[in-house]
Amino acid sequence: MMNRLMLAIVIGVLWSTPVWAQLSNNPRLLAPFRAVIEPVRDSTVRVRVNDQDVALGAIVSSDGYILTKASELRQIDGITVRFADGTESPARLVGTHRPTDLAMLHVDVRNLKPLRFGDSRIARIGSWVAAVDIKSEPVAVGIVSAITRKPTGADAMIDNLNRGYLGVFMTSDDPTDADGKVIGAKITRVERNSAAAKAGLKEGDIIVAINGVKTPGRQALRDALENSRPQDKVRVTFLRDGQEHSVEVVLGKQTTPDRSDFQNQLGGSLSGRRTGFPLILQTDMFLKPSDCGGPVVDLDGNVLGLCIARAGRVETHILPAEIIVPLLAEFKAGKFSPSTTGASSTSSPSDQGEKKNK
Amino acid sequence: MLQRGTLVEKNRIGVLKGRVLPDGWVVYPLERNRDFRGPEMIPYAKWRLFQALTVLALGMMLVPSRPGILVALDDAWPTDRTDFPTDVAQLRALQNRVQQVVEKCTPSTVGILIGIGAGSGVIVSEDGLVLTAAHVIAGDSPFSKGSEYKAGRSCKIVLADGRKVNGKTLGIDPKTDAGMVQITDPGPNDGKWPTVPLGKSGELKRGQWVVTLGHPGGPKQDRPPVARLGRVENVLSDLIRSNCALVGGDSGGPLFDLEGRLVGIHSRIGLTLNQNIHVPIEKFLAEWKALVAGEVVGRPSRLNQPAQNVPFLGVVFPDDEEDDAWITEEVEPNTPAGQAGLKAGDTITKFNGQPIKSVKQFREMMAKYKPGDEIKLTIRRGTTIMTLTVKLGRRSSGS
Repeated sequence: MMNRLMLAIVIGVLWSTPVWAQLSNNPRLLAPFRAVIEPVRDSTVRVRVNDQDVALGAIVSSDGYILTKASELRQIDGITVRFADGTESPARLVGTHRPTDLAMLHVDVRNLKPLRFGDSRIARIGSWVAAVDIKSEPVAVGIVSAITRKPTGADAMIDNLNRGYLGVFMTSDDPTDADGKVIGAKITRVERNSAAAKAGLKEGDIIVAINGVKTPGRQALRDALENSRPQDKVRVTFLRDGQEHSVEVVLGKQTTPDRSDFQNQLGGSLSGRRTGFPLILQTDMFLKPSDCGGPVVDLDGNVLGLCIARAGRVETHILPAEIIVPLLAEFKAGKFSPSTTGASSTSSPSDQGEKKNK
Repeated sequence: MLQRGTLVEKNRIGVLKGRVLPDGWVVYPLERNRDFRGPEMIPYAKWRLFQALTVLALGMMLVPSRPGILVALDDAWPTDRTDFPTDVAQLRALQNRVQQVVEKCTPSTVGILIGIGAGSGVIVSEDGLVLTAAHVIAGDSPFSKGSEYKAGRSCKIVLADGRKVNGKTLGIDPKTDAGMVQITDPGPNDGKWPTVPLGKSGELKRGQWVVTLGHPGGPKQDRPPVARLGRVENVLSDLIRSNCALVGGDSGGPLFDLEGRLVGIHSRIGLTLNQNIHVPIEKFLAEWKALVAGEVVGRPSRLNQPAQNVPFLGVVFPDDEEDDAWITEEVEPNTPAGQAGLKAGDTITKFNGQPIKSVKQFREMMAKYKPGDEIKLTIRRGTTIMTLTVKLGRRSSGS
């Protein structure tokens, strides 16, 4: 039986092609796109945090403003960008905008070549698209799968599906002090075998801080964990019987007893934030979550928008240029505060009744 | 455990049933439930173990009775070209092709909502035959022998523009995952439905470019059928493998060559993005009649006959299916035909106003109705033409 198993595994290895060897990234298909992306390369940057590639980005002004995918940054410090010419420069986080998951960075470099945005509505289903890299070839190519649309249902909900999970349910009726001020997030149920259960958190505990940052209410707690990942250690401060306690929790993973999620993960990892965008242009490009954030062009070199999420086995979404352009002035004016949680910006999706903490 | 036959993988969440194929692949049924919650899942760690082996899902397809008209497409990129474009001009030629195929084939690509399930399909005849995957319409056990399956279940067909029309299930072939559905509402063009022409998967070459349409995740509001481009990776007698990425909800959707001809129906997926399995169109053609008749291919015919939902008129026609639909024997008074006043010697010339020229045409029309429906039959009796209303009965079993 073991022999059979081994044989089957060998056959399987021979038959299956590594995920990276997709049509979307096949060097022979990428080659003719070099000429297409060349004019946009100089306006593209590689965004790095602590010397790791986390995203691509787009230069939006000659004096150093850059847009990228906010949720991939996960922290405010240690951000650098690398330009197409190979030079690298430290970057400051200027602001983040939660609905679009865009972050604006600033680098102290002048005479940059800003991206000239087009309009996603010129794209037809079947049009080639290329996700521009700072290298001479795109990171991925594909076709437009569905023209620009507003996501509906669960696709319209803002969430980060890759975050670390505590495994607690909280009341929507946040506990308050004598003055009516929300003091924390009250646990109504602890999921069995969850990170919270292992750390000894119980029903009735009121979580008041994560890693020393106050969490007044359920939404604040969720925001505080938005950029965490499974296996991260966080210090949870909570009230039990009026006494303040503190415990270290190793965050867990959301169990996904959902075959749709499961199938969508076949064929590579997905962006944590992949839903809840105001508009999307859907493509069949295949790329890594860390290759999102850069410009996407059609065969004529029109910048259709920025690559905003690897969203499923069959889909990578573009945030349309026409909704990015109006945000630029607001970003530069400092209207969106530099948060890596997005807690400061617009409201989160419907929040009724008992809801699971992610 | 990995021998040909059935593989059952137990785990914390449930039980995964699959089949080990001769080529070493393990095939699992593809999901077709709209809410996608199902017991057939395995934890991620287990997947890593099976990574090199695993293939998921199911497929289906059928062929239209009257292929649509081939419209000449931009031929700067030949349909059977198997290599990569080498410059922007060639990219553009290929793009033109793909755009034309999408434009031409989208109106015929549909979503199918049945119970809590959702899948895809494609219209192949002007009277509304839809090819899909058996597992889309057959319930939870795609690998079962189909013994429980009954044709005639009603479903909703979601058109490319989001409108919904009515349909009912016809036959399935659980072995190949072929399934068929009949749209029961009249089509938009003088009652006719937009169709796609049929191709030949046997003529596909490795590397040939193909276009996928379907409804990944099930039909979604404001989202037309979703297009993907890929190449043929492999053509075997019972499956086509491509790198057009598929996911649950796509099952039953169409695979087209660059001429816009239907060559396959989406059935199952593997772990990596180049493992997308389509049922060759020939598998539908081979069982066309049985599928139209609402049968479960491979099931003993006795079980196929007295289906609850087969309508009953109570007349005997000539044995030759191409003969006129005339009544050759006395009509029993206690049958629907007898109660409506039909008599031996009558020739049926119209069915609800549609001309009937043969027994075969009459039977095809009957297949669209169910017991209890009222139909209008126009008959010729000698030199008299009359129209009678008949309330269809239920065929009693064992007859």
